[in-house]
Amino acid sequence: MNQGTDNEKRLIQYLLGQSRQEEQVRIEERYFADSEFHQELQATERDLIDRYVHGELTKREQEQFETYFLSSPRRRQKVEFARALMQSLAQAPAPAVAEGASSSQERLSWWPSVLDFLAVVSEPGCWPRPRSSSSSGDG
Amino acid sequence: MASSTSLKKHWVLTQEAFEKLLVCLDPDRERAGEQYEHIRQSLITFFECRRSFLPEDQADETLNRVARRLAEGKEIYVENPTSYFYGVARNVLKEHWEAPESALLESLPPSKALSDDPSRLHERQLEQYQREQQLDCLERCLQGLPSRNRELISQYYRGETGVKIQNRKSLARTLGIPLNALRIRALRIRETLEDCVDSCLEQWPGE
Repeated sequence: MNQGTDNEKRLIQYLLGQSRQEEQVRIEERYFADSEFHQELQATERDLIDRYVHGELTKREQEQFETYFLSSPRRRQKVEFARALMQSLAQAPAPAVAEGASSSQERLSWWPSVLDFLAVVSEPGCWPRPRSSSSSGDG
Repeated sequence: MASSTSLKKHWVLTQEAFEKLLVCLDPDRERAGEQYEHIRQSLITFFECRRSFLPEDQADETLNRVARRLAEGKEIYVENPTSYFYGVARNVLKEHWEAPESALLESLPPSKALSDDPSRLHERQLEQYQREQQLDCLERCLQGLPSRNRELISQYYRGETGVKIQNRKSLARTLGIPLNALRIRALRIRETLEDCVDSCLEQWPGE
């Protein structure tokens, strides 16, 4: 899904280890600072995994996925989870998608206010003065 | 110097140090907790994307280092605390790859580094058993979801490529939300399921 957007392509390249170093750092700095962007990266990762499970990756993407992405045990678990999820949902009876469309909105209004949360706030006592970002995290 | 490094590596996070870390993230405890969780998840993503084999351990190591510094009374001068965590994480990763035990893993092809001996019949049987466990756990976890979440995730992932995209557009229209918001909702439910399955598998009796 949304495979065509430039942003998604950038994130896929990052996940497959194909970004240049400066781009890699840009993406990392952004998702550390921006929880929404981190969510977007996570969603892109799940889409990428699903496309792999469905055999929808290009040959090059698939090679990179198998040699780079799957080097992480945790990611292999995610792929196994995706397979299980697809299998489980495929066996389940189809839900009534269109039924009660108007009430669905109310039924799904449960979504927690966590999505509204975006605060990245500084506490003066702890992070008092700006310094060049390159000096951060000296080990 | 060596003993200092050793002490730092064996430093254990105390409740006091943890509290101080939270206060530094945000004076409001709830928001600090959310911020802490965001940073931890970002750290795990970072280590995972940089091909660490222990992303969660290294995320915790990074958090501990920052907490230790704060506990020692050090001030951290950055505009945004998250960039400081990122900087420390890069150093943790660098040290990891410089450690002698990493060299062996790095020298192997990634897909072979941790497993993949074709003669491992027993391990394959075990994997098959684990897949069955996973499916069983997943069924339980799906049943444990609120029905609206179960419906949403079921609708979201239904269908082949083209049909699936149409389904998602239709679902987003039905819910009155943008497609990307739907995507994030589905992600949250999926993450909940992933965590639930992990917990379920941990409780599963051994082979």
